[in-house]
Amino acid sequence: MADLHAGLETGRLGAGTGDDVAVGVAGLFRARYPEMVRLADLLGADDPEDIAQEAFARLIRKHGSLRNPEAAVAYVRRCVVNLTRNRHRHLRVVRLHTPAGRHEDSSEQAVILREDHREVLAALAGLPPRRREAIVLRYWLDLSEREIAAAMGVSPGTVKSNVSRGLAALAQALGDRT
Amino acid sequence: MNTVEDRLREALRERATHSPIDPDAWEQAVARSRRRRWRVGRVRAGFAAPAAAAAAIIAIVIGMTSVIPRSTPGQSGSVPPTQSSSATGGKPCKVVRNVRKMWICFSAIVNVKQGSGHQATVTSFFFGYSVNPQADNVGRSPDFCAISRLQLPPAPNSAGPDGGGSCTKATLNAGDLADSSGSILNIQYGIAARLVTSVTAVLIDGRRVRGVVVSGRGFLNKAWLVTYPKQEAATLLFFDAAGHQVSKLFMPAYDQDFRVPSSGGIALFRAKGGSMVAYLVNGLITFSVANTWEGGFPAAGGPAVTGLLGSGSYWAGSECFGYVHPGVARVVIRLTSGYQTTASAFTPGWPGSGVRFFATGVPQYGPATQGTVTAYDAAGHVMAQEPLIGTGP
Repeated sequence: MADLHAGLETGRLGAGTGDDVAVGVAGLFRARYPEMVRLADLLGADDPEDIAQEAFARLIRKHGSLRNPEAAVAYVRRCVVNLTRNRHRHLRVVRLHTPAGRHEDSSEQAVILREDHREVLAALAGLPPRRREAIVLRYWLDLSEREIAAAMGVSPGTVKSNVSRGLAALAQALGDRT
Repeated sequence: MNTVEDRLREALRERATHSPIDPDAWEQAVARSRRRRWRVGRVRAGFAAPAAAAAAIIAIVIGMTSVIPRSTPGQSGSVPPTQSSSATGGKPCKVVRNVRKMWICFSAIVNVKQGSGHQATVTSFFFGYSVNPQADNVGRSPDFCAISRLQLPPAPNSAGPDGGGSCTKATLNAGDLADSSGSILNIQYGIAARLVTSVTAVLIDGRRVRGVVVSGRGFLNKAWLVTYPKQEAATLLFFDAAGHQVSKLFMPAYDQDFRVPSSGGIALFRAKGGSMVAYLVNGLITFSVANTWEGGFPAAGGPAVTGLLGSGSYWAGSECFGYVHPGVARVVIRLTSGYQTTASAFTPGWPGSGVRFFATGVPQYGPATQGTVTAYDAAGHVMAQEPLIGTGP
């Protein structure tokens, strides 16, 4: 089947009457796709592009009920967080049934990342999923507690708690290693 | 010395710069978005277009000859819509240009207007042949084309396509009096035999929405459309001039906002991405594996058998599965490749639902492979025969 998608390729899906409001899915994709891939990556997804593409695919399907670009961004972000969480859940089950293997960074990453950054990221990877999510959304995306709560599907109070406990755990882990 | 927060920010920022970005990501996301849409019928080409693009396409298609009356803006399902046609004679009228394909139409173009204001849509129907610009040849089998678009630009900040359409098989299968060709926005459309004069959608909660049946010069079949929320499943009833029901089609819900219910589901078989699980939500059955789902089938009131043909990265690669209603003793799956298999072992569904599930492996098949599933009772009588619904990419 040949999908023509003339409109999608113009990047004006959901366009308004003027260019200033012509922020459609394609435009949003161009503007935000790398960010969503990186978010999935920082949350520990084994295939971050797969997660980000799936999130945008869901946005495309849901476009009719999203009324503004900000809502769309929040929707995609929440999809990325949920999909990554689900993926972790799935992988945990898979690992129960497969021989234990340790995740190794590629040699390229090993060279590129500074030693102290690797330490920080290793400590981050050791956090429980929700604490890791809260930390990444807070310190990488600089989101407010309300925005983080929306992305994680929890209350702002829970966000505050996760960030606080996550930071404490990181401090302890990094302190232990130094 | 930096604080933990500073170190964290720096590490995250640096790590993020190494995330890979596929240059074809947009195309892949679009393909995914279409993957889980039901394709009841044999859609061969489709597109979604913003208002400007759709209007340009229409202008080329119609050659500026079609006039949509501005009077009597009908409310979908209540006031009969207006229609107009532009006869194009025996020679090719115009060429539809879009991204990858073109069509030469040989019929009149019939426009159907529904709704009013920003919600008013115009759907153009015509029959034509596809053109392959690379090979410079014209398709041998005729297509039925439908293009819908909002008549006015959408409201500012609205999200969603402003139009789109598809070209599909122009002829009905032997014995069929109506077929679904696709959907765009909330509009379902298709073709019907000459004797069909009206169509009504009966939604799962019993609401009835009246549709439109039109014809025009050179039409190989009549065209129909009916507009209702695509997230709802419906049964389409087709009637002749005497008011007799002559055909019906079951339309699953499209674009469900599916969430796995806390009550859990029924595991059916092991697929590539995990267990294939059936869920029952609001009277609709949804199949889900590895965060993907295909759903929207009515658990009650549908045909005796509903079958799906699974493929793709999340699925096992080649399986046929579905569900049956009470009285079905076995189902026979027939693919256009010639393969045939029978399933007579069923997994019980939810208590009181009467639904039972079947699943069977089938050989790897090509993208053009279609098939049917036939339900038989214990005496060997055919209870229903339905086209298999393709899933996956």
